[in-house]
Amino acid sequence: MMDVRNVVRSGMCTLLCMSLALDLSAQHESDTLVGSIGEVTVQARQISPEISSSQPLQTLTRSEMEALGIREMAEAVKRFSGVSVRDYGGIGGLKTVSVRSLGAAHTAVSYDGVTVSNSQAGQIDIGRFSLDNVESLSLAVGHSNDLLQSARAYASAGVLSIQTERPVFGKSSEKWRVGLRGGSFGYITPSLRYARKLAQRTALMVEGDYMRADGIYPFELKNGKYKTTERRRNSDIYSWRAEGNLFHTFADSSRLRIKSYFYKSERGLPGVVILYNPTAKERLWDENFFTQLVYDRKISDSWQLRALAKYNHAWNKYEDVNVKYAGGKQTDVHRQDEYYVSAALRWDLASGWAMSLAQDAFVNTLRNNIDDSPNPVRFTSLTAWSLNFRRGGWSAGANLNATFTTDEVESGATPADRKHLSPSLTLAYRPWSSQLFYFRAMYKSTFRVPTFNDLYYRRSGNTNLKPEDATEYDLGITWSAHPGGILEHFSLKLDAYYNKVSDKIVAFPSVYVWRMANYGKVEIHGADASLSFSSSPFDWLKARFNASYTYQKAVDLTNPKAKNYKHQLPYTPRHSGNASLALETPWGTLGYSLMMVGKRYFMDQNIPENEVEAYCEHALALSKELNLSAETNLRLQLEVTNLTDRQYEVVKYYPMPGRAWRIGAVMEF
Amino acid sequence: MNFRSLFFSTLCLLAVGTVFTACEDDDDDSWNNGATVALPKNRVFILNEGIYGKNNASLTFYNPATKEIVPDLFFSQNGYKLGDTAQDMIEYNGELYIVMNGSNYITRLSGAGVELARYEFTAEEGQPRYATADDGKVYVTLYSGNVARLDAKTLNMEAMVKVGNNPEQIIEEDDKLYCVNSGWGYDNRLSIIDLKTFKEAEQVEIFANPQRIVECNDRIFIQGYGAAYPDPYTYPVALFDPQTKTYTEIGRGTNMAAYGALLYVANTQTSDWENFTTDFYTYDTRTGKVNSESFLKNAPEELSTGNVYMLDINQENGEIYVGVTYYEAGNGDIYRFKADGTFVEKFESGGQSPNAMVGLD
Repeated sequence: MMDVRNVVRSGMCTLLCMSLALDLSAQHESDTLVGSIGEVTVQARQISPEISSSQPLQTLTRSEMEALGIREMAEAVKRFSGVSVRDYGGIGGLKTVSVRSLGAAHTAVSYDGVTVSNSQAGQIDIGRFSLDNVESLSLAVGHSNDLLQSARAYASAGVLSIQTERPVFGKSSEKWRVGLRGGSFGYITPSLRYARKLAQRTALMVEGDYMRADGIYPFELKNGKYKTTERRRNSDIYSWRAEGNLFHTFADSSRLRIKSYFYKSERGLPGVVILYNPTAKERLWDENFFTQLVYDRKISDSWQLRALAKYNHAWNKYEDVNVKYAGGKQTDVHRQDEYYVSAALRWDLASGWAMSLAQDAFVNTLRNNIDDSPNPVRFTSLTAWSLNFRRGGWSAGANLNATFTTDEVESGATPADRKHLSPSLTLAYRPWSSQLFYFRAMYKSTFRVPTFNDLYYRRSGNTNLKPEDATEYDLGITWSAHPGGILEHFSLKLDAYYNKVSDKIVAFPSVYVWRMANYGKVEIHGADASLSFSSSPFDWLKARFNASYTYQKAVDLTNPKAKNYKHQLPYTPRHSGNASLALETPWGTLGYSLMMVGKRYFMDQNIPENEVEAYCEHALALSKELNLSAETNLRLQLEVTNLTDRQYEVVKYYPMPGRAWRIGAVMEF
Repeated sequence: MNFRSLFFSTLCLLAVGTVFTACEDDDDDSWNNGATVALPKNRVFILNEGIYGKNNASLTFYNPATKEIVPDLFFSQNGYKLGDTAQDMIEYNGELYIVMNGSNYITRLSGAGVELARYEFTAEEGQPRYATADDGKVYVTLYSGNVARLDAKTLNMEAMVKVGNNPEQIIEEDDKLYCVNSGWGYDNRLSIIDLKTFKEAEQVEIFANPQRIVECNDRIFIQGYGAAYPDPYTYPVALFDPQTKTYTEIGRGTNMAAYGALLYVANTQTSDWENFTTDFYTYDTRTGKVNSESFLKNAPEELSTGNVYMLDINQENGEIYVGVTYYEAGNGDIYRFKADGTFVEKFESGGQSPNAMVGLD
């Protein structure tokens, strides 16, 4: 009996592997195939792209996030190995992602396939995105074999992709979803979604939510012999989000998706905790609107096209009230616009060869209320040429990315145009066709263009800046199997990497003046390991376990005479890891997760005074899905974060919240 | 080598012991009242500004006799931290006053660093910058555009006088207070307050963005950026005439200190904002002449390319202390020179960005 099962499973897997190997574009779909052969129920997953990909790739699906009670984008991203999230704490606190210590500006964030940009500061606050409508979240490092990627995605050292849900209709051509969540620190968020099948091949989905929180949470402040309980002040947040999606499949089976997004928020910025001085009066208002369209067309068996266009508008106002400003307050208003088009054409040649050409063009503008602002306008062209090859157990890819940027300013110096070529290479080998076991190797060179702040910021901007270069090397193995018996499935991923950042753009001090300069040099040696398995020891229980560990030696090599020479970069732990366990039963799902972050330094010099304590955070979630009728279901969820009420900081003197709870109910009908 | 350092350490320990024993024998070691760490009579204190938002300002004790260092003396003596962004430190009646810009208070410390009084400024009064003391009062510049008068003993707030925008350094000279107003680049005035009335300030236009003011042999010297924005920064150092209310430029400089009849100037210059060099020169108030020869002898080579953040002179003996900053990249370094400019030693300041030194004996 066991043998038959195994044989059937292996056979299914092999078949699937073969069919998948032929269809690269299917990589991002994660259906579960369920078949039945006699009395034996066979459940075989397709090869996860995380295993077969020649680039380090990690994914979290909606169901995994729900089982673990992950409700915030930053919480989800923290679970990826090799990633650090700079989290300033609280619901409205800034949260940025850095992949393998390359810095936030080297990580692109894409929302439904289109890159989100911030040409002013270069980093994306992932705290602004809701997880409510997210279907999957994935993080890809280095070279990608997806030939229909935009050139912009190729140009980044890492890409965090946010994929939102598509509506699924039952018998009815309408679908509603109503949700309400609330919890500690005055948090409440109602949400509403409506989807309608407008025609046989056209669907519309609109959704919106409102969020508010007073954000006042207690924290422990240690100051030598004094230990006091303080409260985080001025951390209220109000936000509104609305999204509209139109899906259409044409008669020739090409697909169009149009998305419009609107976000508006107002928040207090609690700022850094300053001893003896609790004043915090900074506030920030944000507005963001974008509309994007993505068109996919399979022109013939060997030709495929993806085209996209986007308009993005972002506005923010920062205000600080303090007698130190002339007039008693400082108000900065910034407005950024982006116009973006991209097209990628893929050509599948005979005998395992495929190539593509992607061309992106975009214009970015920045306006603000600061005197003598140069009001820069930047035009960027990115061209990516890629080649893939597959034969036998081998697959290889090469990419060459050409960048051209030119800035125009209304006043002050104009930086020189930038032209840059950056290559990448990848190789994967599967030695045994019976085993889902792969070796992979990757090299990628990328760079980041100086942001508007780097170039033009009042007093510190430097229009002579060169781009900041990053180089990545990776060697890894992946292994996945379905051994049968109690152990349904397991997978293992090991990667060792070496990264280099040169001409790093840093604020460089001299003569009581800070100027941006291409001064820094960083070297990173790292290793990521992750293990996951699922098991069904009883009919009524399915357990899923995940663990990952990251080692990073990221040192500053800027100046051999400096006191921080060869010291670990600030906020970069040598060791970090996380683990999670989800237990699914007919009575509900219990999720437990744990995150460990080792000792770090909050300053460049690695001396005991500059240490930030290691911490361990536990979270627990309980959820239950009730099918009230064929078309109606209700999902109830309870989450407790920071179960042990551990007082810790990700960024020094930005305390993180202690134990907190949330409850939520979502009804779909 | 090992034997040498062991021998040296033993010698240091012996020296410390001798000094401490000497202190115990001496009836007058009242500065050690309430101190956890007893300090010798001859004391040097270095104030480390720290990095904004990191709450890591600190006071370092340096024993000039033994070269022994006690980092974060404030914490050792008081059991809690000094706080965020230490801006200024002055000596008055054998005690120390530290102005905490980020943490928004001024504190009075005993001659051993034990906190005796503190005044926390309100949000309306604004963050403090620099201080000077005279006749039982401490005067503090506040970023609200005021100079505050506090009782030097109790640190009770007594009165405020409006000056320019973002006032910086302040001195007392001939019953008048003089402070410069930077306005974060946009002010160009010197404010003069009559101490007897302490009612209103007279405003005198000088150059743009002034930062420092020093009294030397009854003369007043002012220094600043000379412009609101970096590209035309000129770093003027000038002699201010309180009679005519005019100034005469004597040279360029980024730091000034006074001892006896000499004004000591450090001038850090750059052409590309990445590489910089520092020159040291003096101005003799008696002759009115600049001596462009460096007042430092056999200074380590690296000092000429270091980022000089502090230039202070021990008023007890004329020894020169030059502080170098690496900002976030590491703790600062102090270079100590004898009064005649002979290099004595270099030591780590115990915190980031050392910006003030006080010597007591």
